[in-house]
Amino acid sequence: MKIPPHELAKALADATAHAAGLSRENAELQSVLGAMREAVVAVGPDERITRVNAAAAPLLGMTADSARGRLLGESLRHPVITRVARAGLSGKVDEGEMEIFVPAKNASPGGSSALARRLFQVRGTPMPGRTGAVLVLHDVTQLRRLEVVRQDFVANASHEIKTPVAAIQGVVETLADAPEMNETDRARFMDILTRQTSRLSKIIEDLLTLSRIERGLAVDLAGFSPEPLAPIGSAAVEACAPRANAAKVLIEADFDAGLALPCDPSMIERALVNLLENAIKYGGSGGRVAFRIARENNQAVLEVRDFGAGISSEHLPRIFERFYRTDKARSREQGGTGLGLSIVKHIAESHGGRVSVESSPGAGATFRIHLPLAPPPAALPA
Amino acid sequence: MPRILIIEDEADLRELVAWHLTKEGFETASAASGEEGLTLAVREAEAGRPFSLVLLDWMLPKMSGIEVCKTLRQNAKTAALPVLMLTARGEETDIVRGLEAGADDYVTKPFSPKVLVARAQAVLRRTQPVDAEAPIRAGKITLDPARHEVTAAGLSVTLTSGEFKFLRLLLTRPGRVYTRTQIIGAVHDGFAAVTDRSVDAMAVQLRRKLGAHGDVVETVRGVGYRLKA
Repeated sequence: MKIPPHELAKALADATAHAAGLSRENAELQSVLGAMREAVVAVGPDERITRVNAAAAPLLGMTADSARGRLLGESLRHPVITRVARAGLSGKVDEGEMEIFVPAKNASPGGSSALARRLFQVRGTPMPGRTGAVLVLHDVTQLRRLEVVRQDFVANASHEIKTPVAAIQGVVETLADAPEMNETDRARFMDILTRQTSRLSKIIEDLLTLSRIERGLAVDLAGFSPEPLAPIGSAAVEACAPRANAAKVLIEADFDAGLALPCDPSMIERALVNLLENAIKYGGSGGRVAFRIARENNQAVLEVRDFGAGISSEHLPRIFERFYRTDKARSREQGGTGLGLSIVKHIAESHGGRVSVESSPGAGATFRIHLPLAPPPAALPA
Repeated sequence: MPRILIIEDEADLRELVAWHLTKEGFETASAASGEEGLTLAVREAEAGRPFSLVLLDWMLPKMSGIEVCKTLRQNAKTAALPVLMLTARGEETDIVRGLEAGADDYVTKPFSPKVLVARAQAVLRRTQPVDAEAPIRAGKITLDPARHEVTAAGLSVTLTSGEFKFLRLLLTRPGRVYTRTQIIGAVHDGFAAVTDRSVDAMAVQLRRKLGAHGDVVETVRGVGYRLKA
């Protein structure tokens, strides 16, 4: 069969235009996929990977190009993703959650092999005509973590509040029902009442403090003039002196007298008192507490360090949460409400700063409040 | 004299509860942590003088009440030890978790000491060892395990094998709440799949067949079922 040259040329031009269109569509698709936060993996009917986006590459442990053509099970082995992929290939939508280990994002330079545990929600959707399946992986690690924090908070808060209420209610009922109770028992019950009432009122006071700070001191901060930090530090030491003396703990203060920044001095003092009280409680009797206020780069660092038993690493990421306790029995015995560190964190954040903690078992703990120092006057707009 | 073990980390609550139980004629022993309580319960059981009941707080430092309960259940020496959970977690899912860990009953904080004592006595009453073959009576209902017969006010009631097992479970411990999962465990015959929904359907059938006495099968919202005591 003979095709006239002009028709051949036209067919060729059409095909080229079509190909150009396709490659433009392809490029568009690539950039849409590339912009996605979710990982996308497409597989063919033989379970071989046909396409992955940039977010998927680290999960597969290889570049997008080298993943193409490999069996899904070779690159990402997990029963959930296999199940979801097969459902997609047989024309069904399926989803599930799986836990996998992926290279940590902020791995230290030397530790390139560091892996982080992540939780992914996987959803598989069939492609038209059973030509394959698309798997979308959504990272829900943070979401699930926050759910745990919230559930723990609700459970801990109800425990912390209902326990004193239970004791108070029980004692009141007991006293009302037993008018002939002997003096010794009566005195013991009155003790319980006094102790639990004061505990409940401390918790309520701390919760109110937290909600006051949350309502936004940060907005009003502009109204405060620069306050020197050293006198605030001295006031905190003063406030903690009776406790420190009782526990035979020496507070060694080392303040940079020149540091000042706009802040609510009573709030900062409160935060420092909380940190000092903790250090006195957990630093061990007869010990010492190092209390430093210093400039570091463009920050004021308020640091309280004890030399006690320290805190094991599993607690450190959660220690500033409300009602989080590393040792419930011990901290309650010490009269804590479980809110002290959370208040410190909120005060620091309401001043545009942050908190940090460093500790290892046996080596004590160091708590720091980092507050941004005001930019030098020259940098301020006239 | 029944002896009750109180596992509660809050000293004041421990003292308060012990005072009331002593006043009602119980002997008490106390433990401030799950580990301590567990050791005491096992040691006393091994020495041939097991506790009659454990009052167990859920939120304990380190080992939780749930873990203590599960561990007691796994140990042959303490598997039958009645457990009454004390919990500040009033959510239904929490209560289901407690019951499924093997608790016989639960009391939510804050509680009235009088009510707590009454609940403890109820648990003690219904956890008396029962003769597996003896007919069980509750109100107008009689269930005879040996003859596989149920009568309501003297009239014979025809039940399926699943419904029979369901009713028997409730009758053995009047007032004790069973979760759907526990009911499935009791009625499952190894063939038909039993789901939460089919437990609910079975309860509806049971009530219908028991006619005027059907209301003894009581729904505990979000938790499960119990025999109205």
